[in-house]
Amino acid sequence: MKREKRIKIYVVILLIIMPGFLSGCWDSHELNKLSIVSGLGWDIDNTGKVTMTYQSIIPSEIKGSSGSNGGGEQKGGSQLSAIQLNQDTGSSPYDALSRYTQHASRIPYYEHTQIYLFGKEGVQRGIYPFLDTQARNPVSRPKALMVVSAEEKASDILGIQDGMENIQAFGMAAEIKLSATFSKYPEVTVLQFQNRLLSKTTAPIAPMVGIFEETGPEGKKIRRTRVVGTAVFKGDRMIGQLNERESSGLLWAINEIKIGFVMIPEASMEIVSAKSKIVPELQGDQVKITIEIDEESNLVEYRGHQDITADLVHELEKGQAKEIESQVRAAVEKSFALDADVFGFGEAVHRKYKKEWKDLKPRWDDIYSRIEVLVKVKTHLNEIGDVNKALIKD
Amino acid sequence: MENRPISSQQFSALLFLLLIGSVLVYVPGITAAQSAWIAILAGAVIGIWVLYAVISLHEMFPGQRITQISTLVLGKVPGTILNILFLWSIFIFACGLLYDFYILLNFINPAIAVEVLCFIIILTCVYCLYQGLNIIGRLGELSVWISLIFLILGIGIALPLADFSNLKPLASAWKPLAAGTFFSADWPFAIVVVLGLFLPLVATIKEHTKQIYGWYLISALLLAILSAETLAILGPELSESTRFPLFLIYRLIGFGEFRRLELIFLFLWLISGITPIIILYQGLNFIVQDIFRLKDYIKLILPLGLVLGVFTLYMFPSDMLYDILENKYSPLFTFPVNFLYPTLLLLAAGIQKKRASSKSTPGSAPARPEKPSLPATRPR
Repeated sequence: MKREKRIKIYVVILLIIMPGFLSGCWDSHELNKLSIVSGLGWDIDNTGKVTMTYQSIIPSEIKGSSGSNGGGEQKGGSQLSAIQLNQDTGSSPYDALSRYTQHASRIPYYEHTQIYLFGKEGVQRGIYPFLDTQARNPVSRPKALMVVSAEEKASDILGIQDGMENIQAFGMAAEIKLSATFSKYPEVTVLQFQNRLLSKTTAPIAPMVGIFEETGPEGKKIRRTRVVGTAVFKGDRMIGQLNERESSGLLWAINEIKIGFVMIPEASMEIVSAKSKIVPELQGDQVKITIEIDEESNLVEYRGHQDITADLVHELEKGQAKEIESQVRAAVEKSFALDADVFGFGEAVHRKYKKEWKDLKPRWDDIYSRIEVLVKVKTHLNEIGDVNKALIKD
Repeated sequence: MENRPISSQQFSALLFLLLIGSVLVYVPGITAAQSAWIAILAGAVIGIWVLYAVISLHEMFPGQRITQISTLVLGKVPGTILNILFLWSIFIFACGLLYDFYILLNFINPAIAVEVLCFIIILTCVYCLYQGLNIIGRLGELSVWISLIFLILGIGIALPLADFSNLKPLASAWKPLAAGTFFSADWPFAIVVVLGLFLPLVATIKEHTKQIYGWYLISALLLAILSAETLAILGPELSESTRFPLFLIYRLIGFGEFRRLELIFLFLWLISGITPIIILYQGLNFIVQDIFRLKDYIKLILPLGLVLGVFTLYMFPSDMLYDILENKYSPLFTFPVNFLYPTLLLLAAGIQKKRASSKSTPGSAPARPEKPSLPATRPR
C-alpha cells in the first residue's frame, strides 16, 4: 500500500517535469521566424573577403503564387517576396553569416538547401574554408549539390529568375539532375565531392552553370541559366573545365551513364543501359589503363535511305562505339592536359596493386600524364523502332 | 522453486542489443580502414572466447555472479582487487556509451542541453532498474525483433548507395588490421563479460547455450555487414572522420522525393542505444554490491546513476577528449581487464577443480564448491 502511494507520487512528479522536456519549446523552429535557404552562393575576392549570397524562401509569403516579381530577375529583398536574395561580406564564411544577423529578421535555415554555388573567382582561390564549414555543421545536408558558376560571381547566377520552378535554386538543382540523368554533365553532391577530395589522387569535379541570353516572344531579352561544363579541381582549387563532349566522356569512363543519346552522322541512338570498368595494369613503372565500356541502345533516328539490315545495324554499332571512344579520349586528353585524375585511375591502381601503391602514390602526379589509356567499347543495337524500311529510298 | 527472472530467450536478446547498441553510432575497428569489417569478424572470434569463459564459469559455479566467483576462486583480497579493476572497466564503458548516446541526441536536438539529455537517460535507466530485473529481460525480448527489422530495413534501403569498390584493397597492411581487430575486440565484443553478472538470473541456460552463441554470431555478422556497407557508401576516410557515420547514411537515403527518413530510424537508436546502458548500469550495481558485500543493490541504483551521469559530464567535456580517452587510452586498460578477468578465473577454477578431484579418494564424489544461494535480486 505504502509502495503504491510512493509510485503515485513519482508518477505525479514525472508528469509535472515531463511537459518541460517534451513540449519542444526549446528547439522550436516557427515558420514565421525562418528564412529557408534554398541556395547558398559563395564568392571570394582578391583581398580574401568572403561574400555569401542567400537565396531564401519566406514560407509565409508562398501562397501558390509566383516567386519574386515574375518575368525578370529577383529583387534583393526590397519588397517582401516569397524568394529573396541577400548578401553579406566578411573575412570568413561564418563572419559573413554573423553579419547576416545584423540586418535579417529571420533565422537562416539550411535544412532544405539544394545547391552550393561557387563563384569562378572564388573556386580558383580554393574553397576549403567553405567545405570545412559545411562538413562541421550537422544541419547541412550531405546530398546538396555542388555547383560552380561559369560567371565571375555566384550571386550573378542566383539572381536569375528562370526555368519552370518558382524557386531558382530548386530549378537549378533539377536542371543539373536532369542533365546528369541524360548523361551530359555529372551531378555531384557535397559528400561525393568530399570523398574525391579525401582520396588524395582523384580530382574533385562539379557541374558548371552559366547564363545565356535569348529573345523572348515580344523581343524582350530573357536571361536564363544552363549547365555549361564540368569544373575540375586540384585539391580545393578549380584548375580547368571539361566541355560537353569531354564531360560525357568522363561519365562513360566512370560508369555514370544512365540514359541519353549517342549521335553519329547517320543516326541517333537512345542509351538503354551502359556499364564501364577501369582495369589497371602495371608494367614496371608504366601504368596501363583499359576502360571497358559495354553499351546497349535503341535506334531512334536514322537519316539514311537504306533499309535496316543486319549489316547496317553492325555499321551503326561500330559508328556508335567510335563516337563513345572519341568522347572518352577527349576527356582523357583534357585530364592529362590538366594533370588531374578525374577518373580515379589512382584509386583503381591502389585497389589492384596495394603493395606497389606505396611507391606510386607520392609520384602519382608525375606518373599520371604518362599513363597509357586503352578504350574498349562494345555496343549493341537492340531495337530499331516500328519500321525496318526507309521511308524514302535512295 | 528457484527465482530466475530472465529467460534464456530474453538473455539472448539482451546479448544482441548489447552488441548492436554499443556500436550503432560508429564503425568499430575503423582503424583498419576498408578492412574494418574483417577486423570486426576477427574481433568477434576474440569476443567469443570471453563469452565461452563466462558461460563455462557459470556452469562450474551455478548461481554465482562472476564477481562472486572471483573471490571464491582467487581468495578475498586478490578477488576483490580484480573486481575493482573490472568495476572500473565497466564504468568506463558505461560512461562512453552514455556520452555517445546523449551526444547523438544532442546532434539531433541541438537546442536541448547535454546535461538535460544525460539525466533524462539516467533517470529512464533508474526507473527501469527500480522496476526489477525481469523488466530488463522483457525490454530486451520486446525490442530485439523491432531493432532487427529496423536494422535489416536500413541495410536494405541504403544498399543502392553502396560502391563496393571502396572496400578494396582488402587487408592492405597488417598493422591497421591488427589495430582494428584489437579495438573491435575491446568494444563491443569483450564487453560481453558483463553478462557474467546476469547469468545466475537466467533460467535454463544449459539447454540454451547454442541459442546464446547463435545470437552472438548473428550480432557479429550484422555488425560486419553494417560496417562494410558504411565503408562502401562513405569510403574509409569519411567513415573515420564523420562523428556519426551511420546517421549520415540514414540522412542520405530516401524513396523518390521522400527524404529525412533518418528520423524513422531514431527508434532503432533509442531502443538499442539505451539497452546497453541499462545492462552496464545494472552490472555496476551488482559489482559494487559484491565488492561491499551488500545484501541488496536497490539502494545503490540512484546514487550510482548520479555518479555515472556526473562523471560522464566531467570526464568528457568535449568530443576531442572523448576521442583521446575512449579510442586511444581506455582500450589499453579495458581490453586486458575484460579479456583476462574471465580467462584468469576460468584457469584458476580449472586448476582448483583438478586439485580437488586429485585430493578426493577414489570412489567418492569429486569435491564441488558448495552450492550457494542465489544473489540478492528484486523479484517481481
